[in-house]
Amino acid sequence: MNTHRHRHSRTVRYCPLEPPWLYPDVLAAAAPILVPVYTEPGHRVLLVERGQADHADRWDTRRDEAIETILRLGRGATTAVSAKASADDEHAVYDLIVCPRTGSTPIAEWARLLSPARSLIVLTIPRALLPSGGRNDGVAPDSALRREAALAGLALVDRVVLLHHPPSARPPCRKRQRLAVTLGGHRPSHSEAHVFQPNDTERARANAPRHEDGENGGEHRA
Amino acid sequence: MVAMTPAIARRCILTYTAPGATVLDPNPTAGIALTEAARTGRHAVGIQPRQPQWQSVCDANLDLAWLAGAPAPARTLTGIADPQVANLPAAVDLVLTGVLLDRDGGHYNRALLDLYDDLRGVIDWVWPGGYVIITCRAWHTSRGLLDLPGEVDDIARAVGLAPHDRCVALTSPIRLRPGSAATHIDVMIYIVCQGRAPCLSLRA
Repeated sequence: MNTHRHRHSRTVRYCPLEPPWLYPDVLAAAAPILVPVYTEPGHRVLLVERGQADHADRWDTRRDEAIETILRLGRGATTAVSAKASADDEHAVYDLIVCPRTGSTPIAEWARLLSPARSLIVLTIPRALLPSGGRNDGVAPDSALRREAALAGLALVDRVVLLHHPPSARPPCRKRQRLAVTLGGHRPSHSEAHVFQPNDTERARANAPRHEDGENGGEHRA
Repeated sequence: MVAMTPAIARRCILTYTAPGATVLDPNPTAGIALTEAARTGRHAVGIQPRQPQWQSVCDANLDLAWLAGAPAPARTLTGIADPQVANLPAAVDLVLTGVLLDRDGGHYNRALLDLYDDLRGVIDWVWPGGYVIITCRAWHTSRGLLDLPGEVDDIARAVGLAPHDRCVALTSPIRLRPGSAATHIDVMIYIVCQGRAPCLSLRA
């Protein structure tokens, strides 16, 4: 979506959110900010569930919030746990897919459900940005994510920082505060959204058949 | 363009070192990190910029810091084989450097190779448990997004650094209203660990 390039020059978006910053919370908060940038009215959005039982209640609440927001923005919205389940739907082609970053984010599977020239957003929650959190969650480095996307015919086009907490203007002034930061007591206050789109080769290959099918993604479904 | 500002350098130095510590920038370009180190009472050590056009700017910045009352002059080495290395006040506490890139992302691979060489050359000068901070930013070019932070992360891990933290430094004001936008520089913080023990004890 080169027409949006001027918007992409801004790399940080303020996205206020109270901790704990779990994936359902970040998704619900990020939806009204990211969806208008990467889709147009009438497009279909797929929200991917992380599939963790301990977040089930939170997911139910936040999912409804996110879907309501997306519908009010004039886009269709649906949710899925896995790409296989979603692919059973005969109209399973989406203009925007938002999925969490996990130890094994199946980018290739989601990429098959993406309509040409549209976007796949991988959300990295704050805890996974910290090295310890990353190790616990088995989150691979950015380059691994990028390589996996490249194998699926996707290219990284944006990396958006979602700022959940107002920035602190002053450095820690007391020795104890500085020590806390250096020993890893730094509280993360942002998530990251890696935005992938089909690369030029993939887009050229995919464009012809899908246009013949008249796929325009105009449905509004919840 | 260098992804470094005096405010970022000062904050990193104040947070991760104490007065009297030694701060090193292996490719100082305009000398921002060295200048802030000198102005905050740290020993500043640099290696001559790879790009000759930065030398005069770097020298001028360091002279100004000295005239402004920096407690000790910054030292500039000619390279990692400079005999003056033996005269450094102590091992290095913090390596602080920014990645230099052309405005259109030109010489991208060259910049990454230079960073790898710089880090590999000076990594043995740092105390175990010392910090390496690299500032960089992603670039939108006519060829697409160059994810420099991701590449820098790969390089840092390749030279044996352990990830410690990853911060965002805003380079433009942001309104505290949902959706308002700003720009940023990535501040990537690593620990030098020889063996796993120092790194694990710090994380604990």
